[in-house]
Amino acid sequence: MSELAIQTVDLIRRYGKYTAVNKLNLTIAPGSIFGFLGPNGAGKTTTLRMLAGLLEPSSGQVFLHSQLIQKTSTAAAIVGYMPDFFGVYDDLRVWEYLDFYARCHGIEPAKRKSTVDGLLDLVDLSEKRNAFVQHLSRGMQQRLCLAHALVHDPKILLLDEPASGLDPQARVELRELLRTLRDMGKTIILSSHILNELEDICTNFGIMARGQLLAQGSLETLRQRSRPALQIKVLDDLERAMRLIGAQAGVLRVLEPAEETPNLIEVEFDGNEQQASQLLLNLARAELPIADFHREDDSLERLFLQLVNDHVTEEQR
Amino acid sequence: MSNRAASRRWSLQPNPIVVKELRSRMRGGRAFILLTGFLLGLGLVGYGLFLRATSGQNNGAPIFSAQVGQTLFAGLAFMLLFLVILIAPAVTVGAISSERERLTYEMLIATNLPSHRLLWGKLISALSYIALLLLAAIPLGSIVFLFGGITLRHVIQAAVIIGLSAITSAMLGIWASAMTGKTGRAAVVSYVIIGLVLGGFLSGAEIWTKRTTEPVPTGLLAPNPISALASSLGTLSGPSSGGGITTMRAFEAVPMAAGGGPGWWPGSNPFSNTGLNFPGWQTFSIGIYPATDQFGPDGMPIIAEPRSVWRITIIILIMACLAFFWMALHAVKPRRRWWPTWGDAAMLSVTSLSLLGLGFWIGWWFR
Ligand SMILES: Nc1ncnc2c1ncn2[C@@H]1O[C@H](COP(=O)(O)OP(=O)(O)OP(=O)(O)O)[C@@H](O)[C@H]1O
Ligand SMILES: [Mg+2]
Repeated sequence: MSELAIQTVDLIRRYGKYTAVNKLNLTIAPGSIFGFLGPNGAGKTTTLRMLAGLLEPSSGQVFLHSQLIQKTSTAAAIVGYMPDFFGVYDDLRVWEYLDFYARCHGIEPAKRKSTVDGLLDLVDLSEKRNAFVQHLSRGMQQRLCLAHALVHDPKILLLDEPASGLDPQARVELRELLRTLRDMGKTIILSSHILNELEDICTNFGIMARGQLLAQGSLETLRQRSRPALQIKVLDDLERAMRLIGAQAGVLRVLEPAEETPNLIEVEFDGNEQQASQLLLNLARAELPIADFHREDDSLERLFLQLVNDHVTEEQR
Repeated sequence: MSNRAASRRWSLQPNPIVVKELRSRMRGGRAFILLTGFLLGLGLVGYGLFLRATSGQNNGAPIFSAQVGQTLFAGLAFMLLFLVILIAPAVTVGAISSERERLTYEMLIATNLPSHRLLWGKLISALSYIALLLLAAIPLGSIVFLFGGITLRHVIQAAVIIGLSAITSAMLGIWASAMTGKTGRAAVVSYVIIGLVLGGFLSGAEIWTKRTTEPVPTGLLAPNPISALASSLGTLSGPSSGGGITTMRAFEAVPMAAGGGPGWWPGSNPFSNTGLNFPGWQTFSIGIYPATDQFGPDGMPIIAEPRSVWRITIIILIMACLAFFWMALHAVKPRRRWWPTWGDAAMLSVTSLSLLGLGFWIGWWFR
């Protein structure tokens, strides 16, 4: 296997007594787009800041392209970081803003202008070249901030909720931009709440809750961990239907219908398709009024909620 | 490409922070409004000093042009000293904290820019603004030379004391900004420290002179730029001339005279035709002239040379700057380490040794 872009070893970060990140072991291959998921306060930002060398781990190590990160400057050369909340300098023009970061990274004067122009082109801000940064719209500032993370052509991009505050059109554009960047050979790590948006762009995922990494891998490997489910809408005679379903092959558990959907029975099911069709046949034979019968899609969101809920119940026990 | 090679390569380039700050700070009218106000204030004070020096405070004796020049020079020097000491932290207290407050700090730290270049850039851009103020004051200040009475030595000494005070004051602001992380708090901390140093030591010296006739200990004078400037300006009219400010001070050191005769006002000297004549001088120069109890043939007390505390002040200020810089350097790093490294220790010993050597080599700088 080739060298990993990012590897963390038992990474721990505490704030006082509170453990924000607990024994994190991430492995991210180069060239992947890694989606970092987790509810509020899961520790995503804390993790990304440690990866960027901006926050000292309480213990554990971070390796970027096999290099142990002990100083901010080591990480700075490898990583481009876009924080979740950021500000811009007043009274600077857009090109001067990028020029400033290019200077901070020590880009040679000869290369600076072409770097700035190239980036403005990439994030589609060439027209705003001479505008003042504080006058840009939120979405434009976001793109400018992304551009700033690219001035030194880093191998790894850490984007903390890059899509927050963007309108749907801008999100589509961001996705395009990220694909372009991946095609340029960069490894991208982004955190987000908007799950279905990550689904079709990320190659890998990490799911985090309460400082712990619950799962990581491609969508396929994650799906294997999720328990597939069936949703059956029965118009009447719910009691009998549930008893019957519970006795079928492949059924793990029958859940009580939720209040807002009183007719919808959710079934945890790990049988194959034959068993599913047999289940439907048996229900029909019992003359139960079935209005809908479908396999719950293995959306990332479902998977995510399942993992997080399991984790929470486990902790409570 | 190693980091070291990269940093060597671009250490030849202008400091990015300076470029950025100059680009944004010089935009908009603010910088120039302050500049205009500064020059106007300086002009007014200069004119006031001129009026005072040429008015009837000389008991009918002829006014020497040199005397006017000396008063103007000393008065403006003090004015400049106060202005730079007060303005410098105002320019720098936001250096690090405003980056934190405006959420630009992490992005800045996440670049390859070494912390010392970050701090250096902040210092230089603040100082370049203050230098702009001082440069703009040169045409006005040079009027002083028309009156004469000032030597190049005095100009250089005053410039060194004022300049170094400005740098230390700016560095104090940066230090407070880095340590507190909040601009408001940094401003409070800086100005409290400045107040304590300027006012505290002066009051200390004042109380000392009221309590005993022993000379004020150097420890109460040397840390204070005010005393330093006074000790340099005190030599303006020559220590052994018998006249000039030294006479005045000697008289005022005699409790009887200080009791206040007719026409007495702070800093004036009813008994002498020459001398620095502006409000505050008496206070600023507390403890600078060691009192003697010998009297000359003319009945005037013989004055010892003013104490050259400013030489020690210079060393203290340089040390303070380095200490502030070192602490700020550690405070801006995301990974704070307070243990001094070997590099720190080496730097400290090299600076102390070279300061000492320099001091001895030029015989305590043009004595
Ligand atoms: N500087 C800090 N001091 C104390 N606690 C902190 C600090 N920063 C973060 N925390 C705590 O660490 C936990 C993880 O925070 P973090 O910002 O990493 O979460 P997150 O996954 O990014 O959440 P969100 O989705 O809301 O951005 C939170 O409980 C938070 O309160
Ligand atoms: Mg976050």
